[in-house]
Formats: sequence, C-alpha cells, structure tokens
Amino acid sequence: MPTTKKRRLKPQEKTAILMILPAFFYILIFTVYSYSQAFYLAFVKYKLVEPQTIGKFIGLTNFIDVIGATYFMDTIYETFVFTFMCTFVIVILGVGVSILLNEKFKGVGFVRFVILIPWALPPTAAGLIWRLMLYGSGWINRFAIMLGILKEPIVFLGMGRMNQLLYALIAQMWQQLPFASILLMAAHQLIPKDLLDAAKVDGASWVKRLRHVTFPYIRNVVALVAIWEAIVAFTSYDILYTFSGGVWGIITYYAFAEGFSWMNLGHAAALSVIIAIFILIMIGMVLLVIPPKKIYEYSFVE
Amino acid sequence: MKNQKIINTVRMVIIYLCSAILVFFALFPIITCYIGSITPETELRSEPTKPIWVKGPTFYYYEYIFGAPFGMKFTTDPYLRYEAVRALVFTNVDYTLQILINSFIVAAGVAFINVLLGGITAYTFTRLRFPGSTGIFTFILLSRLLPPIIIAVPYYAICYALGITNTLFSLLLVHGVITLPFTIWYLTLYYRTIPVEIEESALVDGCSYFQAFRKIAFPTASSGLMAAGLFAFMLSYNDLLFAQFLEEKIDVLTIPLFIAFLSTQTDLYFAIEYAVLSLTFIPVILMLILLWKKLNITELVGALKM
Repeated sequence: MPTTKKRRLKPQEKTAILMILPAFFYILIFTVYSYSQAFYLAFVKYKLVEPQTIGKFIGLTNFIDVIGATYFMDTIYETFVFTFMCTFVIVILGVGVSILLNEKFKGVGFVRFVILIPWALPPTAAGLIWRLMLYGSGWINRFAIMLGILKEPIVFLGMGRMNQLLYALIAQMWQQLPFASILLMAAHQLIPKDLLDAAKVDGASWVKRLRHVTFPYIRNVVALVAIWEAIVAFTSYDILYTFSGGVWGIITYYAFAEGFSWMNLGHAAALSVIIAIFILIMIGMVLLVIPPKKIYEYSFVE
Repeated sequence: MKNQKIINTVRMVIIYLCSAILVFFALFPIITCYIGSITPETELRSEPTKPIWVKGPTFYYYEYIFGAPFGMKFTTDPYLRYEAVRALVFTNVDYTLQILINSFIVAAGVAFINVLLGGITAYTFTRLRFPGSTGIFTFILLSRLLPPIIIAVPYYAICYALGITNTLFSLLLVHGVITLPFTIWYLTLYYRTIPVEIEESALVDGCSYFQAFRKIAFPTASSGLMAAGLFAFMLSYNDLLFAQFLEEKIDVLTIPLFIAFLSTQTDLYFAIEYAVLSLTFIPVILMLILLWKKLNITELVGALKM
C-alpha cells in the first residue's frame, strides 16, 4: 500500500488515493482471494458430494490425480495444437487483413464495420453457428452442392478429434480475426507517412516496402497480438463448448467439468493452477515485449 | 502513364475481391441464421440437394418463442404435429424473452459499475500523481490477463457456501471485476486526449479534485465513458464461464448460457436454434453500431506507440 511510506502525503495525493481505493480494493479482493483460495483448494479435498471430508489437507494428491487422469495428456496435446494453430493463422491473416483495410478505397469504412460484427457476437453463438453450418444438411454442404462443387454432402462432424479441432479453429478465427486486424490496423497508422512516400519515390517495390518499412514498425504489435491470441486460444472455452455440444473441449473445459459436472472442486482448482502457470509464462512474454514501466508511460504520460 | 492506369485498375480489382471475400466470410454465417430461422424444419433436415433459398418461409418459430409464454398454441408445422413428443423439448424456449431480459439486467449493471468506478479511477491515474501509481496501474492492467477459470472455481465455492448461486447479483459482481481493468485502461487513454485547462481553471476557482471530476471531467468525457460502458456491456453479455458456474435454474440463465444449453440438446429443432440465435444478435449489433460512432480506433490503440 502507498500509505505505508513514512513521509506525510500531500492533500492532493490523499484525494488521489481516496479516489482510486474503491476500484483498487474491488479488484484486489477478488484477485488475492481467488489466487489464495485456488491454491488452498488445490491442496485440500473438496468434493461437494462428500461434505464431511471438505477441507482435509491432502498435499499434492489433487495434482497427481489430475495429471494421471485419462484425459490429461491428450488434452494438453490438443490444447497446444489448438493454441499454436490459432495464433499462427490469426496473426498471418490478421496482418493480411490489416494491410487490406489500410488501403484507401470506397466503402472501406463499411468493410471495417462489417468484419467487426462476428467479434461482438457471443463466442457461444460463434461455436453453435459453425456447428450448424457444418452439419450434413448444413449450409456449407448446401451451398457447395448448389454451386456444383460437391456431389454428395460431406459429414464434417463425423470425423476424428483432430479434424473437429480444425473446424473449431474456423469458428475461433471467425470470432478473433476482427480484433487482431483492428489492433494491427492501428499499428499501421503509427508508420510515418513520409517514410512510405520516400520509399515509393525511391522505387522500392510493394514487397520491399512491406518488408523494410512497414514490418519494423508493426513488429512489436504483431508480437503482442500473437501472445494475446495465444492466451485467448489457450483458455478458449465458450466456442469449443457449443461447437462440441458440451461434450469435449480443451483444458479449461476439463477444469469446468471436474468442478461442476464431477463436483470435485479440488481437482478443478488443481487444473486451474496448472492453467494459470502456463498463462503466467505467456504474461512473462508480454512483459518482455513491453516492460511494465512502458505500459505506464505509454498509457498516460506525455 | 497508361501502364500506371492498368496497375491501378488491377490493384482496385484485387482490393475489392479481397474485401468481398472478407465480407462474405464475416456475414454469411449470420445471414444463414436469419434464413434458417424462417425455413421449415423439414427443409433444414432434408438432403442438401435442394437450392439454398427458402421454400415456404414460415414465422412459426418466432411465433412459438413469443407466443408460448402467453399460452398460445400453433400447429402450422407438420413436423411438429406428427411428432408431438418433440414439443416437450421446446418448453424451455418459452423463457427466451425472460433470459434476454436477465442478460440485459446483468450487462447494464456491469456497464454502470464500470462507468462509475472506471471513470473515477482512470481520471485519478491521468490527472494526479501519487506514490505507488505505477505499481497499482500495472497490477490492475495485468489482473485482466489471468485466466478467468482461476477466479471462477473459488468464486463458485464461496457463492455456494453463502447460498447466492442462482442469483443475478453474484454474476454481476464477478463480471464487474473482470471488465474493470480494460475500462480503466481505455479511459486513461481517453482522458489523456481531453485538454486539462478547464479543470485547472476550476481548481484555481476553488473546486476540490473530486468536484473537478464530477462537474467537468465526467461530463466532457461522456462519449468515452459511453464507449467504455458499451464495451463492458458486450463483455458481460457474451460471458459463458462464470454464468455456467453460478446459474442453474432456468429463470436466471443468461444468453450465452442459454445458447450453450441449446447446443447440448441434440434433438432440438435447428430452426428453433436459428431463431434464438437471430434474436440474440439484434441487441449486440445495435450496440456495435452505437459503439462504432463513438470509437476512434487510433485513439483506442494509442497505447501501442512504442
């Protein structure tokens, strides 16, 4: 706490601290409570169906149970595959879309607005829509047959888990691409105009301008978007839940299922601690790209 | 000169083609929902050899959703008439309106918390210096990056112990905390763009800092505050995880939870799913239109200057 400093506070500082206290405490209580409680729950027995044993300290048993569970290794593998694919596809396409939307042409405002719509819709809806699209009698088959591309409908949803993950990726991309492109688009506007014009006058080709002028300027934002998308994909839950009809998902799904369907909050907490460790590693990577001092400075100090 | 003209034309063609693909990719799934919601179920389930356009548009499914709560009964759908058992699955669809209202209550409450607390906090961070501000600001920002599941499990445990699961209040409280960091970050960026002179003159005239905030900064930032509120509204309106932990009873469900619930029902009418989806999109798209007018993209991402 700032008040622990020995020197007397100026009245202005007192007001400032009073004004931020409500929000700060609100967030602090939730964060500190959640973290300590999640750690506590991860080390005790907490089965809602056995109320008499709740709170009994059992050491690392929850972690051992969770890691030894039949789903764990497959899920970790699928989570990493999903995260990697999502990040890769969204960043590549996001850069492409941001380049397109930075061109000046009639109707660019409309396109910018329209691509944001999927981002605003609930992720649950994105998952369900794409499942309905991919059904045997769904719209993709219908459309392809109408255009004469397909003779027989393809049963997309009857394929193996990896294929399902790939289709879920389409839904995830549909949802997340707009946000990534808008961030990258803003990054493009940080490039000094004179620099691009100078390169153009000097006869640099489009590809060369992209490589040597645009990319160095947007590199940091690309890294940031990549890490952000990786975090989003890693903790992706809503889209996969509705896409699979609540039957499977990646790691967050199992944390939910352990806690809610199987009524074992100890296991759920152990899994969420494991998830948090992975996320903290990713946050560490964010901080490598932008040190905390810079977050503060760039956020409001001129 | 002529060469340049050809290059320009080709460039334009490529740009419009890519834009068209992009717009199609973004809009096609949404349009199919609206088409699907007015297509008879028999058509949706039939072999997909038929053309894509609607045969015999029907508003039966909307009539069902809006009419059923008032005890109206329609049997214009032949599929339904022959398989009366399926109607049992429909009973929960009666609650669509109630659920939309629930979602609205929670999301509006969250927006209110965000505008009020976020407004004050962001103002303080922008205008006043005080010991520990860097640490507190970074802490608030980074608290958003943590996975929601680690908040959800302990929060469920405490709500269960207190007996406040299945209330909208418990949901509102936790949505407030997950949306607030983004609001504070966005509003600090916003306040920075507002000139400080008017407030300074108010301070010289003897206003306190809180009065300067309440009488001058708060009203002048109204458009930024509204954008922040809309953002918070959308985040809350779209959240599934917390709702799924906290709400079980049908009369306190929120929209994402209801969609998740529909998705787990394997023998539900596709047309009903489409109709519910179509209805839930309307408020979000309206929000987005409002937000789009308020939002200056460069301003929002000004923090990325590095």
